[in-house]
Amino acid sequence: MKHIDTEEYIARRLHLIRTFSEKRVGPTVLATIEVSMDNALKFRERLNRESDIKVTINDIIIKATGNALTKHRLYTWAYNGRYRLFPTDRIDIRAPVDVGDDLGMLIIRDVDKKSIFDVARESRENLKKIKENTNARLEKIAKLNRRLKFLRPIISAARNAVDIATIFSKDLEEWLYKKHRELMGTFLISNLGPLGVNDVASPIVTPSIVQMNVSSIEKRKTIIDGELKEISIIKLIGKLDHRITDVAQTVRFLKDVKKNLDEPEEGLKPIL
Amino acid sequence: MKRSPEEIIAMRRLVIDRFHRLNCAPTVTINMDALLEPALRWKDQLNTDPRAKTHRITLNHIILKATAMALREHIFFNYDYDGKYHIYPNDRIDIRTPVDLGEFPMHIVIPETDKKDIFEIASTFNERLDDVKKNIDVQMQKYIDFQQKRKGLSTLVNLFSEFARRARPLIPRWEKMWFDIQHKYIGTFMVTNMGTLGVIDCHGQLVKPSIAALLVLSAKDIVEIIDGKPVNRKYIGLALEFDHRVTDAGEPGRFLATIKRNIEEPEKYCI
Repeated sequence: MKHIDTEEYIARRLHLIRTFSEKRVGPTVLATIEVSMDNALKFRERLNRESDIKVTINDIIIKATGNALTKHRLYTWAYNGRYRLFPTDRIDIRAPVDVGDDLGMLIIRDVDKKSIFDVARESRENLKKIKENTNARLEKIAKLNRRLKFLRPIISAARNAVDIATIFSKDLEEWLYKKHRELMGTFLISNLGPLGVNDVASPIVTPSIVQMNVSSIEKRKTIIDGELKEISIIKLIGKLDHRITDVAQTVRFLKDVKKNLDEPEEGLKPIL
Repeated sequence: MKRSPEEIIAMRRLVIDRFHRLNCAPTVTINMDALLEPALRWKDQLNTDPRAKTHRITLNHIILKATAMALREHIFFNYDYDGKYHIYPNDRIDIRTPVDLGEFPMHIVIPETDKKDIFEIASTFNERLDDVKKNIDVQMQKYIDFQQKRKGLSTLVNLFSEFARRARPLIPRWEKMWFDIQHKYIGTFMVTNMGTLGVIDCHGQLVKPSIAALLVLSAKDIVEIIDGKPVNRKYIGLALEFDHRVTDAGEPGRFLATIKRNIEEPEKYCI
């Protein structure tokens, strides 16, 4: 990161500062399981030999998670941090993409119903758009935030007023979460593998109930049938809001993702 | 998902309130691995005893005993903290451990865990587990019905709980009384065993009045070179979460090292 203009920087990050506001951060618990990626990597190699559409590890993880979520619908619902849940039947996965100093949002809709090639194709197209547009989009937001700088206390007060109004109007709250889903999808996967990160701890923010972080692939030596072998391992880190779910339930979901990665032929099929 | 959103909220109401922002502590987690082989050998040896015929000894029972014995040396972690400026000592070591019963975790409290031998811990644990399993569905349905069907009364109870949560810290005697009532249901120290779930790492959220809690992670094989040959050694991960307001990493680190020592030398330290 070069020398930065702090005012400008805050204007560009304002939406994230608001996302991670104290009111929205829930009591977070992280639970990690390990997954052998040997089968998934072989499967990917075969797909990429047979097809022109290049499938990445990220695409495989998104698809495996989308299929696992069909058995754990609660984790795609919205939770308001108080006493209301807002169900949905859509599995729209969002995956943050590193675009330099900024964060792009890759959203793949109805992941469970799509084939791995559809996921890969959509992911490629969206990624291209994100790389082209993120900078301009954030510049636009920053410009607006700079212009409205003196209105910030009024905007904060208006946001607080809407928060209070949602206590009394379930319909208003439902409408807000519907808009949120359209913009941000229903489940977040943060794949930090390409950065080489092997563990991460971060807070969960409403309306998410569970989010998933993915670590980089690690080569590990182990003894199998008396022979020293090397296996490829990734960590799936489930991040859960302990008010609505527990470690055991979340781990059952992570194990379903693991099963889909262990048996990719079956686990990555579209679910209609 | 079989339950409706309203039923899930009704079922989890107690947990939602327990994890209220006012109860959550700034939590730090530290990890350590303990060699598991001595505890596994001891477990097999104990299970040959006639007393183990009715209540088999598991690794979980040994870990509960090892933790209770470590708490005797580090009794501070068994105390209650109100999240502000009061710490209340406890003279009993009552360990609680959550058990996974599907939709909702239930807690089993072993009163005076440090004073019980491993067979007594096993029998208390198993009897309470049977009891919980027998009643969980009926009790849970009763609670859901209370929240959903008796809206007026449940709203009053919920409003009173909210008021009490905010008022109690202002009167330390009430807070202490509340903690003492709660000890019957939540004990004085929590040990969560996630070994059977295959969890290799975990960071929790500590809530008052706990100062620390132990998370037991799954066993793992680590390749070590012994006599020039690669050999798999079995280790278990231990994670201790603590409230950074009242302690730093040093004392919890020493407490965790004592638990590790007790697990690695159970015959000496778990008697």
